[in-house]
Amino acid sequence: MKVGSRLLGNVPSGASEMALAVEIPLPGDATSRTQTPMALLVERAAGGDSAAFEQIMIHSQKRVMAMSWRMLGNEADARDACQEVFLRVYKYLGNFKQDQDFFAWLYRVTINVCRDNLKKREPERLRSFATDAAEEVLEIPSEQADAEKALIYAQRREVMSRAIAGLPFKERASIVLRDIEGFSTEEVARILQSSSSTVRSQISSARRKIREYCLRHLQTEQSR
Amino acid sequence: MNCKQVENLLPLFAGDDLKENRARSLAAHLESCGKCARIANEYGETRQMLREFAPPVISENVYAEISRNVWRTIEADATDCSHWKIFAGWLHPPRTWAMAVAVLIAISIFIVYFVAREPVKPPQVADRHDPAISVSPEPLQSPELTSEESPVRPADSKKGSRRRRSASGLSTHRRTHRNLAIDHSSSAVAFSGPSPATGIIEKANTEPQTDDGSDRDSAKTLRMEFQTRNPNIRIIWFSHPEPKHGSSNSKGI
Repeated sequence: MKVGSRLLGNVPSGASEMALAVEIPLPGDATSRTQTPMALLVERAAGGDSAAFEQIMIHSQKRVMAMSWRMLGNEADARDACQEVFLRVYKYLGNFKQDQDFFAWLYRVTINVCRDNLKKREPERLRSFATDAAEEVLEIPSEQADAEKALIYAQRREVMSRAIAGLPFKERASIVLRDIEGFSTEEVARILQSSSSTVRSQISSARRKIREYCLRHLQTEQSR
Repeated sequence: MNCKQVENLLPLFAGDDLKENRARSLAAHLESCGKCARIANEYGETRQMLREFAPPVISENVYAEISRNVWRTIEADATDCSHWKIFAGWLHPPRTWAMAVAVLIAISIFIVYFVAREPVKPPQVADRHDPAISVSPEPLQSPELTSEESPVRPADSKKGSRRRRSASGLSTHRRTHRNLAIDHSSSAVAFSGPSPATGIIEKANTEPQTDDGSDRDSAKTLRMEFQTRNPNIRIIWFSHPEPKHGSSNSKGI
């Protein structure tokens, strides 16, 4: 099996179970002087190592899932997107250049999958974006047991999810990558294949819209 | 820096996306302007809320299921080697474009070489009985020739016919424009066709006549006539080939 190419003819039966069971130790200091562990895994996966690909999935699933959830607003769509992201990674890993940042490439794939997912959505589902997100964010972490704090936390998350849902896709992607995922403006520009000035403009616009939305709705909620 | 400018820059200032000198001047403005400082605080709070906007806790089972689904799909793709997949692979966009270009080139070559290009017809050599060779009912009306010439009948193959020709041996016949005919008996060659300069060309090869008719192999005179577009202008050209040595020796053979 050659990962990242179209030669899919030699996948062993039960590869998924095998790959899930095998824990590959990440390379130690002796082998990773020039490459990061993830870069080595990517190289091995691109060479056809299915166990290395499984390790890549294990190490990046949570990031992909979180990003998809922030972009799409509900868990079901985020799971579908996450699955599609790894299928695309498997298919196109051969095109990945080793001098690139793998996670930046992975985020680009994720953004593209989310955009395709949003395009496929029916209008009814598009309208229910914020509602879905709001329902899910009401799952309050257990450590915030205090009722008042939990209520404020849930309210702020709900407002924030609606505010993000109301943004245009590019602004949403920019603000999520910059302010939530913590990439620099230049990295965001590279991921979105755009210029830094465009990304700065999108981030500025998104922050302004989110602030206005939050001000309007948090004040309304507090006044009730 | 006034408040309006600051207000425009505050979203970027909140995320440390401004250049150092601008950020410094904006910070100086915020120290002196309460309204702008309040807005800056709101941006800061919003950014803090964004950082807290974490996805819900997702169990490990969900990730394991995603992983299983990915492998299942990969295996399904690997085993599905149907003919349609092979055909679809050939229709992959770059190949499709390449094939389309190749087909277009092939069609263009076919059109250029086999359809659009008019085949060059070899000159038709008229048999002496070829009915396609027609004798013009009217001889060319040249003021110099009309009194001395009589029209030659190229299809006339009999020996006696030569005697019926004019004494000067000059003959003229008219052909359809795309035909060339050789009268073997009279050694007369004639063709006609459009000339780029004159429009009509006529050629005639005649031989001088003798009374006994024994000089069939003797030197022949080539005569060519070019009829210009102007009916009053005709170019007549005579050529006397060099006599063949020893031709008389072969006379009796």
